[in-house]
Amino acid sequence: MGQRNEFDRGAALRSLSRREFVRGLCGSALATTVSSMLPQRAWARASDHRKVVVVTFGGGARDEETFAPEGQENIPRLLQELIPQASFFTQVVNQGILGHYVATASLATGTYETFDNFADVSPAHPTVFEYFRKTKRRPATDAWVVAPSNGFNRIGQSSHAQFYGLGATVVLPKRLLARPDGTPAFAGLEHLLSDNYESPIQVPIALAEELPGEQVASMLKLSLADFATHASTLRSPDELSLFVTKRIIREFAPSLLWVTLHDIDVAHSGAFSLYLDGIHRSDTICAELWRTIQSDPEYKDKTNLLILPDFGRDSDLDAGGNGFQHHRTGDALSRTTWMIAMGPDIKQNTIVNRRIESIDLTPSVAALLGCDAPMAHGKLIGELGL
Amino acid sequence: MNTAYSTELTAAQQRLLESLPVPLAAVMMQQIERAGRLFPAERRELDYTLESLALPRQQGVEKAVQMFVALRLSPELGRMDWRSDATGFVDKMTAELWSTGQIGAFREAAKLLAPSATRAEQSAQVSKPRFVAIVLDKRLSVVGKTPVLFRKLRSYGTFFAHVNDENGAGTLASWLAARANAHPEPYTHWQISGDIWKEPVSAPVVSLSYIGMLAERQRLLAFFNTVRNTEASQGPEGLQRVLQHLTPEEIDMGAIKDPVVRTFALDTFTQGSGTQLYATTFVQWTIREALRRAQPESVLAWFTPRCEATSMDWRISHPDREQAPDGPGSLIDAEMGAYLSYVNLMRLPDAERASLLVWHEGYGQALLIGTDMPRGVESNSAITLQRLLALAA
Repeated sequence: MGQRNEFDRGAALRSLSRREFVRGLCGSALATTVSSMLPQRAWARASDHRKVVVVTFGGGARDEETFAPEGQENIPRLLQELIPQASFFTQVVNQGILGHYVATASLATGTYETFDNFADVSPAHPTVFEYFRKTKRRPATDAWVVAPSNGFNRIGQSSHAQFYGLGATVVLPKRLLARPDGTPAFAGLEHLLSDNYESPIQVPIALAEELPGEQVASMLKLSLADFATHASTLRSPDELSLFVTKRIIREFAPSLLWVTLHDIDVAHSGAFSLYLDGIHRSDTICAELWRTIQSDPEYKDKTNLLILPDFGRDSDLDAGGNGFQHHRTGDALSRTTWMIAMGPDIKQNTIVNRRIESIDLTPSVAALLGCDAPMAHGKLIGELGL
Repeated sequence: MNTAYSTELTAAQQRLLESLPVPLAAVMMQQIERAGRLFPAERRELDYTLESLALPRQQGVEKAVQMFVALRLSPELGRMDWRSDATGFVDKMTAELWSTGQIGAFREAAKLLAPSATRAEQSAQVSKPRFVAIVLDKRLSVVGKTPVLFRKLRSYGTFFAHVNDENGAGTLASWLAARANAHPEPYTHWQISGDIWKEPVSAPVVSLSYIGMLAERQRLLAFFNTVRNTEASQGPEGLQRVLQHLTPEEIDMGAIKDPVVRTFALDTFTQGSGTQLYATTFVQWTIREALRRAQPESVLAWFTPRCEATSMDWRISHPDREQAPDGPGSLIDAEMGAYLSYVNLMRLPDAERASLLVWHEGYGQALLIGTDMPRGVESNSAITLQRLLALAA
């Protein structure tokens, strides 16, 4: 009980700080009642025409490097371009296992998954992609995932028998540039093949579960050679993910698109400057993605964008960690993060200080798309107009 | 029951462990197994913790024990013999505590137990206040005007804008030697560098460097490469298990003569993340671990440029090839490294008497934190490095 109280105090403190930082910067209003949060059009939403884009950061960024005064220089676009148009949730708590694959899978299923983070397994509970496709009878091309390679190949499809074959189309951009054994297929692109920062070794993934690179490239109307040529102009795996995401938007305009960024997790190498670079890039990519959404007639004014880290990182002050480097302590800072939500159904320039959990994402995304997520344990986030 | 258990555990220790809840007993067993490779400060902590766990216990210790009692382990884990493989048991237990949501309770219990160990150190004699001196190499620089340095540390000490020293390395070497000669206890004085220590070190100083251990690092990266290309590597956790049992001899670390330091150096590479790849990470992590484990009186640390970022896969596949240096990035890394070193220094017993100096060799600026140093103050007067060291001595 005492432990829970201490955690709650820690989480609330993070929330309070974020609220003050953002309010001071943007003059955002604090949402107090449900009715005050809802834009008028939310009540008349035609969910069948809605699209949802989810961006998760696989590798949390701390307040010190983002929303705190000393960190704001790292996220100018989130602060100046996105938050004024968004509802900002200051207290998103992840009570699950703090490993990126298992945590992202938990976000996607709305249930804290408990499998080994490094195992090549599917989530046990149905994912939001499956709820969406089953309820709305949509093809696989209407739900996509763009993710790093370190285990995320199974993120789109659960092992739940009732949802067999209803998963998302998963693209692991790095694998488009690599041979089946993971070695580079093109010279000079090694820097784009790095998206596992926690271990020099990975469990071999079952390639049968993955679309062949040639097929993905063909779907995106790209040759692998052209893809490699463009990739050579990019600096990081997340920029590669953005490039692929934009192609998916252009070619398929899916209703549900989930992008997991991972550059920030280079923090595990202990190089603070590389971690800051990752935050800068994530900031740029999120703004660029929103601009892409708003410039595409298929998406403009009918797309809700949700951005959240899967969890945080360790505090400098916890002796069990090493500051920004890892997320191993399970302390309040490593579990408490934030969410930016924006789009036609979401009130602008608003701060939500209420505690929500990261597993609330899936039932809420499902609801935004007009479906239920009956096996999810998370709750609907009312402030999203639900 | 393995040999280590039967030969190293005294009858009293054995009785004590059997009386403890299994999660705590396994953790203590793991530490006892490592006792031969611990620094004196760690051994004192271990002895004191074991002593405090014997009946009758103080209230705080008893509360911690009861929190360990309340942890629920699976029948599968219950069937494992923690006595014969404490490390393997703790490894599996940790995974289970995470997946069952009990890791927070475990951590809280451990934190409650920690003060008893801290008291062991407080009772130990620290003959001279601790002093950590950190140098940021002149190659850690940006193009253009001088950046604002030591931002995270300025509120804790005095900033000196003009620090002159024609022979900084010599001044610092003399400073460390003087402290070591004044109190020549083993493992009490350290020098850590991202480059290599060119001058021979006086006996009581532990000396470790990133470039100095180039061959060892390359052998370790080659070892990683071999393991990951082994059919039955079993992924990251399999690698972790292999590393837990790796010995310094397997990657030929015989150049380090002291067995405790040799194991410490191996731990730096097998338990630290990025220490094998980046000089800045190596220096920061080694300072952290030296402070935490050996609790030294003096540390001289030199941050030098790390190489440019590249994929871990590539580095492991090409252990003999280093990328070009990244001076600006390394400056940011080193500044954070200095700040984390201060945080770690403040965790030690007698922290209120401790000092920390960080000096940028190229920009000629420094920040000094110490008992008598004003906080959040800036001095524009010219001062020598030698004088700065004396200010906090």
